[in-house]
Amino acid sequence: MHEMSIVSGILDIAENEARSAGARVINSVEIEVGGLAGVEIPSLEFCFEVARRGTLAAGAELIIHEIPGRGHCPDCDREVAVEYFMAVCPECGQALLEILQGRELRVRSINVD
Amino acid sequence: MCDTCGCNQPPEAVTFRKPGEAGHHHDHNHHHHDHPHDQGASRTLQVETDILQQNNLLAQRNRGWFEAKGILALNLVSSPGSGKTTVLERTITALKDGMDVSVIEGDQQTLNDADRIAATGAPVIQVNTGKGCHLDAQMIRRACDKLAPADGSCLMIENVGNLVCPAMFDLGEAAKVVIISVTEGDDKPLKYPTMFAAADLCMINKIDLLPYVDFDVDKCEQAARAVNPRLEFFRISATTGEGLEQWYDWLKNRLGSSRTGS
Repeated sequence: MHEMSIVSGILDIAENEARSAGARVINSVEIEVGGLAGVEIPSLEFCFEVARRGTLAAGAELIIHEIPGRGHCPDCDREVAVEYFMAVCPECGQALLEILQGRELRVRSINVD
Repeated sequence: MCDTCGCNQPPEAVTFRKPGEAGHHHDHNHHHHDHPHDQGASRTLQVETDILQQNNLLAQRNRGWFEAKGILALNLVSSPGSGKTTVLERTITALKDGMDVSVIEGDQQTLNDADRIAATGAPVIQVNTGKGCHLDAQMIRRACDKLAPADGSCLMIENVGNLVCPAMFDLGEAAKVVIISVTEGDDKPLKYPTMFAAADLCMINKIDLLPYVDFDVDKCEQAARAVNPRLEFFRISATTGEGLEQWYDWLKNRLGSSRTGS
């Protein structure tokens, strides 16, 4: 259940940003979650519901942008979708894929009053 | 919330104890929350901050500290019951004369594992994470303050038995060692790819039980290589000692590199 830790991280970042900007209420928190980041989105949403209580984000909406995994094969030079961790290129079956995106776990922005 | 990770529990829920020591509480700063009711104009603030940034920064600090002291820190991860503690007991006893080993034991509850390690004579500290499912970099920092591992020694961090969450949290270790036992499924690397992708070494334990279980070692290694082609494998039995020499050699080599900073 590391999603609770992730949510705590999100709330800490959001509250720090909001406070340094002199804001009093967080209306929404926009985050990016990569498909290879190892985070379950339903768990994340559930944990956010619970953990936001008593914070500046008590009534905030969590907006999640899912970033699909993409990789590059240095052998055949193709860019391919990566749905789970794998090392073999689905196109040429040979090389080790470089992951281009999908590991993101980031707070993009917050909306505050 | 606890220091960096939270897990929705108060900070005093995470405890640091040496065997024979009573548990005690630490003071921590608590978050203070405002509850304003007046509303201004709403605005959007660009944040662009990595959610694990706090843990990653602390992990890098730990890593620098280990490097400066020539300490080889290893993060041992597995499902519960794969034999991490038995591997450690055997390793500490076998290498006693040539290597200083100290241990950080992570479990949700009890001092049981720390007591087993203490019986080998190695310095050990037990971190009880309470409801937490993994160790984080801050817990390692605080455990090291108390444990004070010697310069040029090997620090074994036995993470909470869990193949999911510990993969996400860098502790500042030099390498992750994943242990799987033959009483588990040989497709586990495919079921829990994040951990196998993050590991440097995979030890397949309890091979003395292979005649009694339906576990295909080659298939398991093949599955793990599909998620991590750089992964090294040792087939071992912590009970009989079979295959452990290669693990001891690996440890000696890595410790040598840590001491010389290469």
